[in-house]
Amino acid sequence: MKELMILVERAVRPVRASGRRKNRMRDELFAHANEIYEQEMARLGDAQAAIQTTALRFGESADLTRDLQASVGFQERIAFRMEYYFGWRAGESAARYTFRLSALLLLLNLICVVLTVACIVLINGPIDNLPLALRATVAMIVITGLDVFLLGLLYFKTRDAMLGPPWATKSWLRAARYGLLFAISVYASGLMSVATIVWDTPFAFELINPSLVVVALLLPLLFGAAAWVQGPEEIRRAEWARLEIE
Amino acid sequence: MEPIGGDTLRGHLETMALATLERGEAHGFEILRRLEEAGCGALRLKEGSLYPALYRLEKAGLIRSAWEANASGRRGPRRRIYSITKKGTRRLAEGRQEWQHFVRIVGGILEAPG
Repeated sequence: MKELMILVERAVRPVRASGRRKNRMRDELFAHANEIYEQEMARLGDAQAAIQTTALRFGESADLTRDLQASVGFQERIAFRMEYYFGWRAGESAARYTFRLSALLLLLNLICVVLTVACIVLINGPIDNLPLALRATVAMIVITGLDVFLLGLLYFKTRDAMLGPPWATKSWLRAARYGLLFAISVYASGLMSVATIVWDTPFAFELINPSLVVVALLLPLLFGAAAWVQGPEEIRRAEWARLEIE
Repeated sequence: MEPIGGDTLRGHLETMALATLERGEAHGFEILRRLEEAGCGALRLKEGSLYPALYRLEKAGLIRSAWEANASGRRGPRRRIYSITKKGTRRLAEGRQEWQHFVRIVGGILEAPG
């Protein structure tokens, strides 16, 4: 019942709490609004009148938002702030979100590397093997950024193919293809990182095989399991976020 | 008599919710039904406002909650079931004493004992 969802979302959306916490609020308030609606529908026999009475019994959205906010602890406010920077935002596509996340992590990595190098230089003096250090830095910063973007995107594609939210069709075959792409990406990224550091591709092959093959085959399964567990909650949150509440 | 609602109820809602849960675990809608039943229809509560009170109680460890099992055979969105903890039972006993003390003092001043 979309009208009831909107009634709930008006109260919950402005609350500064983690997505998980807000989903719980939504589920509970929605279940309650449904019960009121069913009661009023049985009493009044008119859907529109039942919705209006439900809204009256439920209370003003602004008051409820204020009370819900007051019930949220400091940790939840911190989680809200962290999710604002690192989590998915309403209306954001998977590609845009993973791009923003990878850019943010690239920046944070860069700051960490600069600080670490500055400390090493201050304590030990000039770096002995500068080309190796530079290559390791590039591998860490650039390839990690690319990984976050590509693997993040594949995670969302796999999740949608596995669970079939309203905006995507369910297809296990497609999920398996994304899984394969995931494995290839992990392998390529590992190879690129090691080859950049050692600057010798055949030697890099020798170093990473066969352990990287095992990792590349296991990681998509792990990410698939994570999508299976976390996906329903993420999808529910996205469905609520798609509601027009104004 | 006017129904009791809004600001008059504020501050007592949490203790009243604990009292309803002392009778057995319940979801939010059932807690409200018990409150209305116990209040003989004289309580006028905006129903959404029950949940912030329940969240505060849960944060304080006075109640605990879990999602209703799907096996209940009920259609519609899932509900969360609340139950009182030992700490909640102790707090309820304190709340009752505080209330009796309050009624005694204020009743004495107003020359209208409870």
